[in-house]
Amino acid sequence: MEYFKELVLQNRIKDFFQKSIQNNRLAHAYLFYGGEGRGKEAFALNLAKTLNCQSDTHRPCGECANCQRISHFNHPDVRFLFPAPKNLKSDQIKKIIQTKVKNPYAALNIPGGKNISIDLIRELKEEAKFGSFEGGYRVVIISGAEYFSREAANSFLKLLEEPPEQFIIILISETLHAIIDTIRSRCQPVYFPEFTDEQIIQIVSQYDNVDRDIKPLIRMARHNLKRIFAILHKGYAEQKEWVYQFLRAVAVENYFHINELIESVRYKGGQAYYLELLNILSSWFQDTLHIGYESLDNQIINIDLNESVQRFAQSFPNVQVDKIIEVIEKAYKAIENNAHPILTLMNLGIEMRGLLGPLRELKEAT
Amino acid sequence: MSYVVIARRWRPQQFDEVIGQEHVSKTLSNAIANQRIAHAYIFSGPRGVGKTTTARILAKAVNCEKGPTPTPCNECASCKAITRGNSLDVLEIDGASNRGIDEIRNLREKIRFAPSMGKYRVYIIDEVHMLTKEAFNALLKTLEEPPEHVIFIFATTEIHRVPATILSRCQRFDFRRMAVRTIMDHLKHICEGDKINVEEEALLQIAKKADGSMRDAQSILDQIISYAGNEVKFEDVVQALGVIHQDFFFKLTELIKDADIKNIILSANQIFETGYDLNEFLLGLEEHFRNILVLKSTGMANLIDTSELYVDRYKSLAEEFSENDLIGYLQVIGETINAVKSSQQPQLKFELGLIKLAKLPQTTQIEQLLEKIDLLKKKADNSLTTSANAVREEPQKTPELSLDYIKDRWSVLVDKIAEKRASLAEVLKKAEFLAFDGKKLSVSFNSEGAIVEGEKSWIERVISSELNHSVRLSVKVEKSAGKKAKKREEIPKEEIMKKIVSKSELLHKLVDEFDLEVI
Repeated sequence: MEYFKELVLQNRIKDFFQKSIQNNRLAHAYLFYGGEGRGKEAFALNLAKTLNCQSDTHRPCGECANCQRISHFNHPDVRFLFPAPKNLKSDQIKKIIQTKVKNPYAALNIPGGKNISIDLIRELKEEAKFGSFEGGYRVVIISGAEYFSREAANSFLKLLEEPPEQFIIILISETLHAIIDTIRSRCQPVYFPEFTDEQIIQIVSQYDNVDRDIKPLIRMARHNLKRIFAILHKGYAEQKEWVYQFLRAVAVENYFHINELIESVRYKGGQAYYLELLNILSSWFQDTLHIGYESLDNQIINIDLNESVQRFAQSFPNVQVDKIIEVIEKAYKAIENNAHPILTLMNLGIEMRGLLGPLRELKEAT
Repeated sequence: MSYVVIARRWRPQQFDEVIGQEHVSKTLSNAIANQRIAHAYIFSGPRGVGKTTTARILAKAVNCEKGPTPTPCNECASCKAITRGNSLDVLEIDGASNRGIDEIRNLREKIRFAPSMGKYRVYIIDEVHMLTKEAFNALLKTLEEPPEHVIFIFATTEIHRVPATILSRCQRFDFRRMAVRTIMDHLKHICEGDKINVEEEALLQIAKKADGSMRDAQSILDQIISYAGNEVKFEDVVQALGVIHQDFFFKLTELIKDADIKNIILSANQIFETGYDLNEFLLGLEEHFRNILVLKSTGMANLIDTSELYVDRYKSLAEEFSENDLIGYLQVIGETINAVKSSQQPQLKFELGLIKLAKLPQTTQIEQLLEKIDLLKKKADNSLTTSANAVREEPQKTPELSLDYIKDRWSVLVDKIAEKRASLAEVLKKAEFLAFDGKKLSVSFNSEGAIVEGEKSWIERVISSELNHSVRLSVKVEKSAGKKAKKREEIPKEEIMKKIVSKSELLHKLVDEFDLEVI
C-alpha cells in the first residue's frame, strides 16, 4: 500500500503521516499550523480521503466513491467547518464551499465577521455520540481554529481529549500562539512549511493552465498559494509600474507628482488595491536590503525589475530599510483600519523621503 | 480498534502515579486515610498537569468497595466503572458545555438521591471557570451544605475567573508546572513500558518543548514515535518537530559577534528554505542567549536546561560577551518575536531582527572606543591649550609637589576649570584640603561635593595636565550629601566633544559609523 503518492506535499508531512498510518499510530486530534496558503486544508481533505479510500494499491486514489464524495463535500462522515458569521444561510455556505470543490487550495470567500460559535461545537458533540454512517473514519476538519470563541473553545475540550473511536479532529490555524493552551495541549501540532517554487508550479498546473513563467508571481505572493490563485490571471505589472513611479517621485521630492499618482489609483480597487501597492513597496525595500549586503540573487523578489532595484540600491547607500519597512507597515495597518488612503500614502511618501538618506547618483530619476 | 494516545493510556490510576504533584496527592491520601474527606475541592493549575486525573482517582478512592482508601483497588466493580467512565455515582460534567443556570438547577434536583453502588456521589465539574455568573450563584447554597453523600470536585485552568464565594467554600489545591527533569523521567518510564528505545537527548528536547505540561510532552512523544517507530533518536525529534539544532545557534552567535551581515542573511535564507517555524526559531535563540547570560552571571551549569555536550561551549561563549550585551540581545530578540507575529511580512521582520542583533555594538567595543576617544581628547586638550595660551604658557618647572604648592596653585587650577565648567569651579573653590601624599590629594567638600565625585576623573585629568604630574583625587563629602548630583551639564561638554571630533578624522568616522552619541 502506498500513501500520498500522487500528492504534491511537503516532505516532512508526507513522511510523518505515512509512518503514522503504517505504524497504526494515528492520533485523534491534530493541529495543523503554518502561514496562509501552504495547503493545510487541502491536505486535511486528502487525509480524510486516505483514511476512507477503497483503493487497494494507493491511497488516496481520488477515484473511488469515497474520495469523490469527500472532494465534493458530501461524504456524511467527513465534516468541514469554517468560521463564519452566525446568520449565514445554508445555501450561502454551499456556495462558499463550491470554491473548495473546484480547487482545494483556493481561499474561502467568507463575508462578514469570522467566528466559531458554541452552537457549532454543541452540534458536533451531539453528532459524536452516534457511530459513523459508513463504518469508516469520521474526520472533522475545523479551519480557522484561531476564531474559536472562548465559550466554544472551552466546551470543545472534553470532546477533543477523549473522542469516540475512529474519530479524528483536525484543527487548522495560521498561528500556533493564537490557540488557547488547553486546546493546544490536547492535539498533536503539525507544522506546515512553505512549498518550494517547483511544488507551487506543479500545483498551479493541476488546477489552472498558465503558459507564462509564474516565478515572479510566486515570489511576489511570498509562496502563498491562496494569493497566487487569487492573482494568477491579473498579474502585477501595472502596480509595479506605479510603485516605481511613486518611488521616483519620492526620491526627488516631487510632491505634486506624488499627489497625481495617488489620485490616479483612487478608483482602481479600493482598499485591497492600496494594500497590494504597499506590499510591492515593502518587497522593493526588502530587495534593497539584500542587494546592500550582496546576498544571493535568488532572494530577490522583484526579479522582473531587477535592474531598477539594483540602481536604486546603489543610489541610496544610506537608506534606513528597517525604519522604512516600519512606516510602510504602519500605513498598511492604517489603511486596513479604514484610514483615508490618500492622506496615508502622502504621509508615507513624506516619511520615506526622510529615511532614504542622501542620494548618490540617481541619474535616471532626476 | 484504533490507536489510543499515550496521554490516555498512561493516565494514572493511583495517587502515587501522579507525577510532580506530591503536595496534592499526599494531602488527599492522608485525608482519606484519616477519614477527613471534605465535601468540595477545587483543583487549579496549567494544562496537562493532572487535575482531571487526580479528580478521577479521588472519586475512585472514596467509592472503592474496600472502603474509602487512599489506594483504590482498580478491580472492584465500582473502580472499573469509574475507569470506563460509566459509573452511576461519578458524574463528570463538562462545565464549559453545561454552563447555564438550568443545568445547575437540574444538578441540584438530582443531588438528593443516594448513591447507587458506592458510598458517595461525586460530581466532577471540569473547566468550571466557564460557568455563568448565575450558575455559580445558584450553586452556592448546595456547595456550602451538600447532602452527606455528595462530593464536589472542580477543575479549572483559570482560577481567577471563579468567584470568591465559590473558592471560600472549597478546599483549594494548586497544581504545579512540571520541571523538565520530572517530565523526562516519566517519559523514560513510559518508553520502557511501551518497549521503545529513546535517546536521552531526544527526551530532553521533548520535555523542553512541553513547557511544563505532561500531556504536551506525551502528545509530542506520541508524535515522534509515530514518525520514528520503536527506535527514537535525537535526529528524529529534529526532523519531526522541526527543532533547530543547537549547533545552528552557536554558528549564528559567531556571526552576530563578528557582525557578518552577509552570512546572517544567508543563514536566514537557509532557515526559510528548511521551513522552520520562525517563532519557534526565535524562541530557541532567546533561550540560547539566556543560557549564556545565566552562565555568565551565575556560573552554575545546573540552572540551564541543556545537555552536557553544550555546557562547555556555553561557558566559553559566556566569557566573550558582557552581561549588558546579552541583555541587549535578549531585548532585540523579544522585540523581533512580537514583530514577526504581527507583521504582514514575517520573513522580512525576522531578517531585520537578526541584522539588528549583529549591529548592536558590543560593550567591549564601546569601551575600546571610549579609551581611544579619551586618548584623543587628551591630545586635543593639550593642543587646544597650547595653541591658545602659547605666549603665556611656559614649560612647567615643578620638581616637587606638596600640599602647600597645590594650595597656592589651586585658584589657578580652578580658573582653568571655570573656563569650561563654571559651576563645577564654584564648588571646587570651597574645597578644604586634607592631605597629599605625592599622588593622592584628599579634599573634602560640603554637600555639593557629590558633583565633584561624579566628575572626578575629568578633574583629575585637568589638574594632572596643569601640574604636569599625575594627581589622583580622593573626594570626601561631608554628610547630608544625600542628593547625588546626577544631572550633568551637557552643553559645554558636548561642545568640547564636537570640537574634538571635528578635529580628528578618525574619530569623525568612528562616530558616524557606529552612530555614537557624543557624551
